[in-house]
Amino acid sequence: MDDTTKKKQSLHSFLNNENTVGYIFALPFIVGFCGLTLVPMGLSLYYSFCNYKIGSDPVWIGLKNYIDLLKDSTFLNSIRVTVQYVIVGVPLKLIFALFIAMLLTRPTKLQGFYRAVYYIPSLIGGSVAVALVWKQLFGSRGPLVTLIKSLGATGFSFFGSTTWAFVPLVLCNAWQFGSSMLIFASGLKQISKEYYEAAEIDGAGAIKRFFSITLPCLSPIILFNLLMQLISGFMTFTQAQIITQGGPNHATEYVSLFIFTEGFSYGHMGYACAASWVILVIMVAITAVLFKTSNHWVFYEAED
Amino acid sequence: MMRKISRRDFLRGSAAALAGTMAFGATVMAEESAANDVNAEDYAWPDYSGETLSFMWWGSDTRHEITIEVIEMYKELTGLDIEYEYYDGTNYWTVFQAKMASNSLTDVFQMGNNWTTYYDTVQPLNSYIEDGTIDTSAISDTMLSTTTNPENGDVTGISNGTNTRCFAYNPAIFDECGVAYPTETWTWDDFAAACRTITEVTGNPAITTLEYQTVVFTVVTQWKEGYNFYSMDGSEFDFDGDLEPLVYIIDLLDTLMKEGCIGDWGIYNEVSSNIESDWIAYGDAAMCMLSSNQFSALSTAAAESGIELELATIPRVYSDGQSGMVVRSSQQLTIYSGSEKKDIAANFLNFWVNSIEANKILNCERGVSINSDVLTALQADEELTDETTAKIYAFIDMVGGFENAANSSPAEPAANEEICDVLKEEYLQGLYSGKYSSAEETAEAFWEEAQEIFATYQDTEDAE
Amino acid sequence: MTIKKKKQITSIIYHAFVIGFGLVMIYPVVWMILSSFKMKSEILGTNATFWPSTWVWENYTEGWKGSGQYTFAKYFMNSIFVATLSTIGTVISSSMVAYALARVKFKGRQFWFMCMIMTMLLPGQVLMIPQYIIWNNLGLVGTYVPLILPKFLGAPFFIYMMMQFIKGLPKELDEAAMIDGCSRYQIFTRIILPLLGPSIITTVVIQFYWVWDDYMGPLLYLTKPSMYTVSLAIKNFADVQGTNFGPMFAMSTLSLIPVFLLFLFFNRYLMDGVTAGSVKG
Repeated sequence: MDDTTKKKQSLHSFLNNENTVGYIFALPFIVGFCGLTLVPMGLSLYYSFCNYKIGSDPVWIGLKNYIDLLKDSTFLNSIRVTVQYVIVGVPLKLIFALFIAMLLTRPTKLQGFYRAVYYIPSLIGGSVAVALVWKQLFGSRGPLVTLIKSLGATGFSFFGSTTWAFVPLVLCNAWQFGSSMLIFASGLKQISKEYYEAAEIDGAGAIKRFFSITLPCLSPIILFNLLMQLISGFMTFTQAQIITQGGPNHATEYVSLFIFTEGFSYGHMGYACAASWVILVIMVAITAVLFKTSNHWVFYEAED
Repeated sequence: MMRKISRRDFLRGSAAALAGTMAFGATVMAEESAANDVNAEDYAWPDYSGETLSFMWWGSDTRHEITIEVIEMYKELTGLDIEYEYYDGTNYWTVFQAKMASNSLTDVFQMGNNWTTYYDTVQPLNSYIEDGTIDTSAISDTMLSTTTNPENGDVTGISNGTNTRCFAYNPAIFDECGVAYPTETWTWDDFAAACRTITEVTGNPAITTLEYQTVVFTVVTQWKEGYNFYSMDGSEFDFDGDLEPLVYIIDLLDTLMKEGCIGDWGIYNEVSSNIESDWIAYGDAAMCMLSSNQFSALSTAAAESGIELELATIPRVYSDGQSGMVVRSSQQLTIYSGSEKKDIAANFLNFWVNSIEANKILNCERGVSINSDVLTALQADEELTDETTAKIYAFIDMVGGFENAANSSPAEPAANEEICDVLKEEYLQGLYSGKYSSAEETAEAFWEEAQEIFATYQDTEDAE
Repeated sequence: MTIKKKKQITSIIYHAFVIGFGLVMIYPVVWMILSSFKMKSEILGTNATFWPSTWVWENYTEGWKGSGQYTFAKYFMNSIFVATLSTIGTVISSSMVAYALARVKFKGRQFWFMCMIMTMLLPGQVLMIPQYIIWNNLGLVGTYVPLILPKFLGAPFFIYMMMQFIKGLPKELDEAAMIDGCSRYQIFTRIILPLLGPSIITTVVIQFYWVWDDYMGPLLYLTKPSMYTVSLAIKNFADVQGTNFGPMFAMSTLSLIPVFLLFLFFNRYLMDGVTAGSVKG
């Protein structure tokens, strides 16, 4: 009797040990990471030092891919245009998503309907339909070009211009803000009403309440959305592929498109892997900076 | 309906033959290969019941439907279960590479003229052709050569039909502008003059789709007899570095585009992913460059707006010089080198290319059949050969008669795709956007990079 | 009176703005839906009109037939199957992993968190082929397993999202429960999960349509037409050789309906006034 109780107790304390609990709950990810991600990541790192074409054996060539990349004007250009896309596109999308999310918190009977309407664009994803509409809207005979031309800029074109071709892509990305909006909306919902009530009693106006309650309480979610949008901005692929095919003159050839073209169209998989790892290093740096600064502007209810 | 009835009759007729095969077994077949005519009444269909064969292709919705119909037809005849996969032309290559990387390609697959890139996956068909498993008696050597590796004589696949790069034009707009129709021997100067007049009258670009890399390479071929951008086997450049032809055509295209006679790169982007969205289909542009097997789809789209189109040759450099036109294989069916069912696959290919009943369903959607018996039978059938299709047949026939048209198409080197991309995206678009100041500078920079790119692919091959 | 009037005016301005802007937002979607009733020549080119001149219902019947021997009924069933299981898997696994990483102080927590962030930083294009080879070696290409199983192993995006929400929950809740004798497992099921309500619903809505929309996975792993999902079947309408636009838009329109209904159903729980998971601060 005593023995089993002891065993039970030790089993119980083992099961409730922080390490055991942690690993039991994290197990799905650990299994998935080790089984499905770790080996492919390791392989891609290995390939990045090789001359590797899909279907044939990789040949070790050391740092050659990396050296070539730094001399490859197309690659450097793809980083430049990607950064431009991210700098313009990400804040636009996030501000827009937060604005609409807040706009639609106003309690009206139509709230659900409104939110559905604003969410629909995100449901059609990167389909052929989106590509066609965008080509018509921003195309050489579309309403926008016609308007701009009538203002005097004859010969204006979005898709034919290396300067303006990224605009339709940024707008398309911002237009599909649904998931960010939803995440903001559920973040807003989690903010306790009592905070607002207390602030109202104190006589704080709407703007003050936004900056002193909404933003701080929402800051973990803002950090999340910001990081995710930065990542997806750097990895942007589908829209550029279906709308501009990277053109004209590489103006919208974002890094993912560059990697895909090198790896799959030209059979330079080793080179594509090297480009991916360069991107990874850049992303790690950005993420690290973001996490470091987040200590100053992100507030958690439960601090470690 | 007609098609269905004739097919059923055909199946009934071959029932006796089927029974025969079952009795004697399939082994007898190989010895009797001399009389391997799938269209013969007494053709002994092999019995493949219980066997499976995998097959993948790319194409449009129409193509998926007719291909599945032929697969089912073959199943009724032989009992073979074909597991098929189909994709659109872009995604196909992603799937292809994934399967290639894991050595799990399908037994039979559709392959383009880029077979040099995937050479390891290709099973040469020479032995099957020699022993008659694939009957080529109705296929001319010229047609067979369209899918043969000139370096070693390997037959890399059976062509699904031939096509040629050409122009489509709208005679109504030419009439309206008082411009003479393109002739068989019209020149680039004629083309430029026609574009300028048409644009002046209509206010629209005269042409919105040009296959730029083909235009540039064709001009090289037209420059002097026996000249090409790549050597015939694709192992090196034939181009000797004298930039004159490149400068000539790059300057012509760029000037016309800047004058608004050729649709700019924005318009190009809008129309290039769908042949049916080309401005010619709506009566706005007068011309369009395309592959001849796209003419049906384009004509159907144009007909919705009441427009009738005609085919024309690619303009020449000298009206009495080389045409530069090439009748080539549009695509082919290839047997996977790692397949364990090559014999069955070969029998299917034999049926695919020779069966008149099967080709009545396929009806040259992939390109004009390389089998003369099949082609004769299709042309005799008014229901299958409508006006548009007849135009394609007549046009291919005419081009086939041009000097050097059948054998002036070099094998595409692995570097070709990248070279074509930089030509268009870096150099032609760069010149247009002002990154390069002149056609001379563009041509020189392009030729230099083309050589560099070519060398990197040679390195890869040497390293293996 | 004046206050009431002021409120009325704000309300009118509010609704006018939301509706007006909403119309701009859904214009492309409306365009697609109207195009599903048009002839090809009205969809493209200069003849393109906003309203169909004649309503072509045949696009729906023709599209529903699909390309091969299967109709879209089959493809919808496949998509619903894949998306439902994937979503369930994502919710279960991601909430578990998020709890571990956000609330449990175990050795290696920082390391696994970094690993999770890392997996999102490498462009997927270079992982595609090695992952395919793994599934092929396991003999699972041509099954739904490569699409569904990974979702049961945690989706980094949702893990991190839920972590942020969990960190927003006051820790005193855990401590109080602990004093009441709850184990860590009970804290997860009784305290954390219920309070995660809004973010779980967000996960359901977003993940369902991401899986529904995804075609790269189905493209690589579903090798038989009988297994194709809606997104892949729609892709097969389009090719440079010619595209059946009418049927394609018709099926794209139909494909919006399940995800839209799902959104409508779950959105109720994300709205203010429904206090299923609100927290006392």
